Amino acid sequence: MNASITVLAQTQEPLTHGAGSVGNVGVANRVTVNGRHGPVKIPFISGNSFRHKIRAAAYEFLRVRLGLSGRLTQDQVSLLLHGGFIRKGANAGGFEDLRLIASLADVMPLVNLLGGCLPGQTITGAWLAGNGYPVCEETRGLLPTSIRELLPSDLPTCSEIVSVVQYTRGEPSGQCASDLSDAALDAALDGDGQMIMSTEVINPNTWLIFRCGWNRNVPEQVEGCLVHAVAAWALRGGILGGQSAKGHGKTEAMLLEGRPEPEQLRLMELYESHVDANAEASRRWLDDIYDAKPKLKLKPAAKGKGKGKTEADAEEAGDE
Amino acid sequence: MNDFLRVSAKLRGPLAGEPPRLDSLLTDRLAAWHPNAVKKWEIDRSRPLPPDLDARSPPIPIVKVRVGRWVLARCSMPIYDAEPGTDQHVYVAKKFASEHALDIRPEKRVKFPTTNSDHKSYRLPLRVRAIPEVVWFAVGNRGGVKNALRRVDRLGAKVAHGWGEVESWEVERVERDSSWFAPTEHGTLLMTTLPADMDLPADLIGWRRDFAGLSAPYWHQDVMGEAIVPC
Repeated sequence: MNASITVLAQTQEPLTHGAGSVGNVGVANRVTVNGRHGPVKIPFISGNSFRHKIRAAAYEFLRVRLGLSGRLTQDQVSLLLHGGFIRKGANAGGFEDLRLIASLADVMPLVNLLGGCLPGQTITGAWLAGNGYPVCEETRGLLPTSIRELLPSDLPTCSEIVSVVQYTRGEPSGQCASDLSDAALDAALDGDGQMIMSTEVINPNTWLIFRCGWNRNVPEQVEGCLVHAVAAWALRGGILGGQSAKGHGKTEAMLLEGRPEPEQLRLMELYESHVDANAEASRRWLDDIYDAKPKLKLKPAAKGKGKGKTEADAEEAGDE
Repeated sequence: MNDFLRVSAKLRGPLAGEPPRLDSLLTDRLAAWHPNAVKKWEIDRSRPLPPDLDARSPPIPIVKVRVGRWVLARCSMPIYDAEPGTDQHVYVAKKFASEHALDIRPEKRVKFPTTNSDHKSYRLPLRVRAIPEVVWFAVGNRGGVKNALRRVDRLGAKVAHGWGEVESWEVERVERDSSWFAPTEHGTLLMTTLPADMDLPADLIGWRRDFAGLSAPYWHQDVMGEAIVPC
């Protein structure tokens, strides 16, 4: 039986995860939940976004370990990093290749874990990511039972964990005025000047809880892929949300529920050795499903000639 | 042994989309444990249903009754009440990570459209509501239902994104069968979608005519027919 995990992340920097903008203010992503005194909107990190962070960490490991950089196609990157896309036309579906699906656990545990659209068939992922709810007064009821008992009686409210940060974009007539031509300086001075924008953020030192699950049992190497990816994501700063180029979204993350630490290490080592052992098969599998390598197919031999033509020969000869 | 049941799911977090029918949920859950069962991804919306669907469907602990050409499950539609003011949309977005261009082999590094075709960017709305509890009435085996629901921990759409977390399941016996009809002081209330041409109580209330799915998989065109649906 696979162990469900609960990830606890403490924000180290402001966390930006927006839902849109009102005027020139970016508003935080919120969901309405039933609080103690009725419905209340709380900021949260979508499970979809968290799932992508884990997928990206798993992809990054495979890219380096399998030496994939510079040898993938766009469709292959799309499958590994985004879950692929549903095709139209002859490859749209109608058939399921059970052997290919069964082989996923061996050759590509990442796709078995998180699912994806292959040409002609859709693979259901096994891992269920969770929304990241902040630990605050209004979310007591959303948190796992084991955690509720540990919470202090005075938690911050959801409005206390959100604040607004302001960005400014300087206009060039200030510091760089001497670098501008007269015309450019005139144009800059005629403009609106400095642009100010504001964004709602989740404050540093806020606890977020992602309660995750499984929708089916998977082999150990697939569970190892998840533990490995979560650890890799956490080690690289546990970045959540956007604006990370401005230093936002850094968290300190840990597994609150799941397998004990020695088991996690064993699963990670198992996954790494599994990827190494199946490296060639994995690369071949990626090429095979998208038919990425050009193949020369022999056309049936014409009567009396005794020798088949390749498609390339036929094109050269002007055959239709 | 079959009983009149009230099945309820207490939800921890908000639910996306709609809660499922109980018989669909049980079929889907039990199909995972039956090697020969037709899995949902084997059924194509645009093609006829597999002819051996009934034979390969896993037995579910809900009573099924044949009415004309339909095999109907004895369970009500999901009953739920979203908290006022909690109905909202969240968005599911996708954009191809073009920052990984170096991973793509040089001859495949092309300019590609993001407004159509395979790698189209999107931002799709998803309806999300805070629903404290979902209830179904059914006729079936209490132990079987309870056992099958034990490992269902999420309901609705986009469960892999964290929506529809179930806090607990409760399966209790009730005195009255309310799976298809529930007597009220105003008349007999319709509790689920039924074929329009079957024998119906004369004092039936809370219904309208529609064209709807009558047996699982409810979304497939082959199970659509003239129906009366609760309203």
